[in-house]
Amino acid sequence: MQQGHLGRRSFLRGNLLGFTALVLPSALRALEFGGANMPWSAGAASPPYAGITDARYFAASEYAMVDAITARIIPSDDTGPGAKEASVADFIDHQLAGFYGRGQRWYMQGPFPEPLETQGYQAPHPPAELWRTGLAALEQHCRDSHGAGFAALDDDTQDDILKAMEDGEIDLVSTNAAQFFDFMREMTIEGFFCDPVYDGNRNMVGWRMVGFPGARYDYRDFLHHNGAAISMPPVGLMGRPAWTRQ
Amino acid sequence: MTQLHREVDVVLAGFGWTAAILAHELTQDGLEVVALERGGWRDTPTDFPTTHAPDELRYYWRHEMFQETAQETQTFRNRRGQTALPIRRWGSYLPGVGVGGGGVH
Ligand SMILES: Cc1cc2nc3c(=O)[nH]c(=O)nc-3n(C[C@H](O)[C@H](O)[C@H](O)COP(=O)(O)OP(=O)(O)OC[C@H]3O[C@@H](n4cnc5c(N)ncnc54)[C@H](O)[C@@H]3O)c2cc1C
Repeated sequence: MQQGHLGRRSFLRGNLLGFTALVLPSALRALEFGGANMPWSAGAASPPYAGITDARYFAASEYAMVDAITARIIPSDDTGPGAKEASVADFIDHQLAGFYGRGQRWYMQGPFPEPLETQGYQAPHPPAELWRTGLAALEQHCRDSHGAGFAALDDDTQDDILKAMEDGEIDLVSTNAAQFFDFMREMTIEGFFCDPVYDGNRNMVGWRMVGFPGARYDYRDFLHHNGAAISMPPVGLMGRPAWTRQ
Repeated sequence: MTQLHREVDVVLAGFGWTAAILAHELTQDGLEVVALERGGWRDTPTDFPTTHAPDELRYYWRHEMFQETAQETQTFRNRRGQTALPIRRWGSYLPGVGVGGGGVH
């Protein structure tokens, strides 16, 4: 932060109690917004995503399961590539290794009674632990009822199991199957359509499938396209594959 | 530790839309105003650059810029007779924190 001469119209910044205090005397407003004493420094924009991490969470066996599960939630078929091609498992792996997996921004203390459906996320585990316990319980279920781990089962059997989880028709040890399924589906969708900077949506396959050209700054040129399809190669926060490292 | 600040005409608690509009009006009238905001400072070029402001995962799904329930939350139920539970993950509304408050969405 800039430490200019502040004088009597000072900004008391981020000091005691973590407050930001701003003093805005009228006579000097023009000067104020001239920038000289704003608590701002040039070129300090936060980088595209502070939470990007190379760290991974899953063990190899968990990763293989997640790859198989997500590939059934968004399968590769004649509408286009699916979650596997979009590297959704990598996206989830990184997300769970970071603040999101730790539930760092969430209130995670008890009590944890049986929640109402309307009360949202009430699992006693932060997301990473929910995945770990849920995957272990699912794997156990597959071995007990089908004699093999999830990843080794055929597509139809995998679909049946996931459907039964979604409908809450499977009892998983210490995991609410329906809630876990919801969370798996949600993160699969996130990983399929996220910006590629998060390591999902590889080669922007998700965006290409729905014809999304990326969250571009300026669409004024297309205001009058009158509903006609816009066909532009998608662009992400870091540009597009043709411009940068693959 | 107590910090004594020079006396001003008006102190605003929080610096979201409401306080920002008030601050504008009051300073227009020549009053001296201090706003106390519990969260951090934000400005357009640093926090809203057009190159990464469209990051939907970061801002919309991961709620960066909003109050973290880890810090402070509320309990929720639909009806009396139900047991209210803490909101762990925001759903239908998003309390703001920091300069700009909820309006930064
Ligand atoms: C996702 C989203 C979409 C919305 N869309 C629209 C829309 O399209 N149109 C529309 O009109 N409105 C919309 N709103 C609503 C609108 O943004 C809010 O109503 C408005 O920003 C509220 O402003 P406020 O100043 O009253 O409160 P806030 O913005 O909540 O400001 C309160 C401020 O006070 C601070 N504070 C709280 N407690 C303390 C304390 N003890 N000490 C110091 N500081 C404190 C907070 O950190 C915060 O910065 C939307 C809101 C959201 C979240």
